[in-house]
Amino acid sequence: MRHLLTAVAVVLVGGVAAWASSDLDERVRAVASQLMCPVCEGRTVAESTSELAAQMRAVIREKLARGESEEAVLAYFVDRYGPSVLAVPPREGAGWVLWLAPAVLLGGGVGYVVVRFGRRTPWGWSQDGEDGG
Amino acid sequence: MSELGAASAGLALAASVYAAGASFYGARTGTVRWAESGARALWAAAGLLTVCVVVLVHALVTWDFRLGYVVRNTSLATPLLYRVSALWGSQAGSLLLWSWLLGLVAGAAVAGQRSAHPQLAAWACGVLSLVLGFFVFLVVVERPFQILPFAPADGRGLNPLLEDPGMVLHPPLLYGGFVGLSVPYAFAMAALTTGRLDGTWVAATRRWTVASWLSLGAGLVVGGWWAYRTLGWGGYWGWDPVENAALVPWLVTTAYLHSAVVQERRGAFAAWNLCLVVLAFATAVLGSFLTRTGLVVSVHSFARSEIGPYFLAFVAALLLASFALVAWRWDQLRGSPPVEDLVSREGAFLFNNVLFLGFAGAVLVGTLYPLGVQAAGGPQLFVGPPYFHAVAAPLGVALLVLMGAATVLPWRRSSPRVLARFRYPVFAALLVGIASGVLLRRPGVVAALAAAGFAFGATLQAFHVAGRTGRKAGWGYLRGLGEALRAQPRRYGGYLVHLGVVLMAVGIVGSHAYVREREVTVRPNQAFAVGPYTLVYRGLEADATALASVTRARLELRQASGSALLQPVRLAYPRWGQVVSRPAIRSTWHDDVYAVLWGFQPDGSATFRVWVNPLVRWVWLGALLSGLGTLLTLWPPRPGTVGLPADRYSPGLPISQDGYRGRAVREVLRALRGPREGRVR
Repeated sequence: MRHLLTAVAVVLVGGVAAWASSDLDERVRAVASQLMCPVCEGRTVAESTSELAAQMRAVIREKLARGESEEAVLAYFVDRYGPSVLAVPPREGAGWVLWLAPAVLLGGGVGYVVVRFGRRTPWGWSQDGEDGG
Repeated sequence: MSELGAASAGLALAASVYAAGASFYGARTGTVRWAESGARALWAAAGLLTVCVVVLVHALVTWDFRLGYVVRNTSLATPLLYRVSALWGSQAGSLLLWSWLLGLVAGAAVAGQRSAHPQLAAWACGVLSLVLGFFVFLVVVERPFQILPFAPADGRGLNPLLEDPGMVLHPPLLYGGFVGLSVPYAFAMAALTTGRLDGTWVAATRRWTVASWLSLGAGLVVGGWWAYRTLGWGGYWGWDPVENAALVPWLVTTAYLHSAVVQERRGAFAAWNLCLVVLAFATAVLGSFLTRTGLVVSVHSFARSEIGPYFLAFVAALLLASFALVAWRWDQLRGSPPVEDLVSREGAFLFNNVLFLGFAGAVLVGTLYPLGVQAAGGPQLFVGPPYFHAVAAPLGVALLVLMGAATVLPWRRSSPRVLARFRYPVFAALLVGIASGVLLRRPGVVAALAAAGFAFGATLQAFHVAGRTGRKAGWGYLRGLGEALRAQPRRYGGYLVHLGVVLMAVGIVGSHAYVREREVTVRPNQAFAVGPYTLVYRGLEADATALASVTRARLELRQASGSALLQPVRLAYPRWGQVVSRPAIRSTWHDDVYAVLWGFQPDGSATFRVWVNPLVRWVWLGALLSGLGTLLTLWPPRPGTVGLPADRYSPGLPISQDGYRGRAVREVLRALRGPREGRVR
């Protein structure tokens, strides 16, 4: 089994590694996927097939190539199109609801489980549980 | 003919209302005749809906352009397959398909459980009939059989994007999943009403639950496959609100499938399972509501209509009534056996539930947040992929770890000795983690791959134990595996599903973290590079089909093993004023080269977007394996299976309430019991 695991690991990791690098294309994509295409429904600029999105990607490329930071590029588009151009609402005011909700759900859930069922008996040396499905 | 359809729909509504009334009355008073009458009325409703479907499909197939629905969804150029699938091409037909499937599923479920659990089945029949009545009511409101004042000579035809085999399968699979979830829901309600809160309803509806889960999951995967091959944006999952709406019930059902095992095995989680089933069905109805009303901005907004308020009222009533019933029975539900030890399989299942529900909750919040902000008078916002990625990635890693751990941990409690069983999975995780750490240096990716390695190792170990036990018994390794699968299809089928999930996880990581993309405008015979590949543009060809003018580009893909030809096309449909780019995909186990013809100029130069998406094939392979594993879990265990020879890991260990026994004791017990009849479930 160890040989099999090694083989699988090598194939998968090697496959992924071939493209592990970061360049301008990558950064354009990173910024574009944080912006919504203003004219199409529910697609990011990175994914959108619209003309406007293509122009926006070109603008992003140009600005990044000029050395502007990713934040500055995002801010430029927010200036032009308003906050609804962002693919994720900014983390301020009501925007926090979005980010706190999963944390509260998960934290609350895990906390409840641990408090409710966490009174575990000491390790039972004599008694193991059962296997089976 | 169309009058027959409209009349059948009306009668089906009446029959389901009667079925609900008669079933409830019969169940309440214990009158068998009324309960029987209710069940027959439900079957009649299913039959009448079948008539509706036949009439509408007949009209679509024979181009009966007197019907508005036929005009809107077919044209003389639509081939037969897509004339049939036009049944679910827009709103009214989709609702009809939905109701019909619900009628069939409800009728079959009631028929199957009537003799074994007459009282539960009677109540469940009432609940199912009510749900059916609601959807048939929507069909009647939407008037699929409406006749136009003048019959045009030709129809408008199906949206060309929908003319694809993926789109033939995707909606019925999703609807089948949504609809199937009504069965466990109805039996849960029946259990609450009658007070039979033991695991009966869970066991009686297990197959329906698993089948619905499979159908829903297959629908999601086929939808992704269709999007990938058709839409030309380089991906298969866009966290579109409607995709999310179908993902949420799938996540909740996944949680329920796991905790249902605990209730069947250990009698625990009774109240919790009821809540999960209610949530699963409520989110399924909510999902259909979001899909069918176009309330949220989405590429799926093929249909918009005015049935929204009805849906909202129905979901609200459903949640209120269900949780009121749970509250009413709360005293009875509290007494279920506790979890002894969090470090046990039950414990792992508990955390599984927390994570899956947290996942579902986060997806729901992200999907509905823009609606909430707008309702509160705020600006129009989007919650797009970055949010969902941020949530899904850590949860996915945690779920992979948990999946591995749950496979290794025993039921009830564990001792330090159990830790020794973690050595191979942990070794696998370290191996993958270190290798990927050296090569990739992205902490998130390394963590995900290590977690996948851990889960993979743990699952393989479970199979290995079965194989080894077989070898010790003198059957050989493979027969040991086969015996394990046949004796315990639920368990080992489940492990196959897990293996598929690991493969999918690897594919998802690869195809999200290491996408290379290039957008270029090139002249004929000009070369350009994308990631490790060089492509040469060889020119355009013009072509035409009955409905579209086609421009096909020839792209030569150069790689070490020779060159391949990619031919992305751009189709212009004058009738719809729509231009569609169909990608050309060269797919290997290594990566996909995904080329889209974006535009072209009179001088022959063309603009392409080309992606290199690593490991996408593993997503489809993993999904296929998961689907097969799920089918196996539906297979009945072979009766009279002689248990596998026992050792500490033995999959043939008899299920007992008093923990681990010595091997000799077990042998004696087995001899006394004779051939076992299936598993104790």
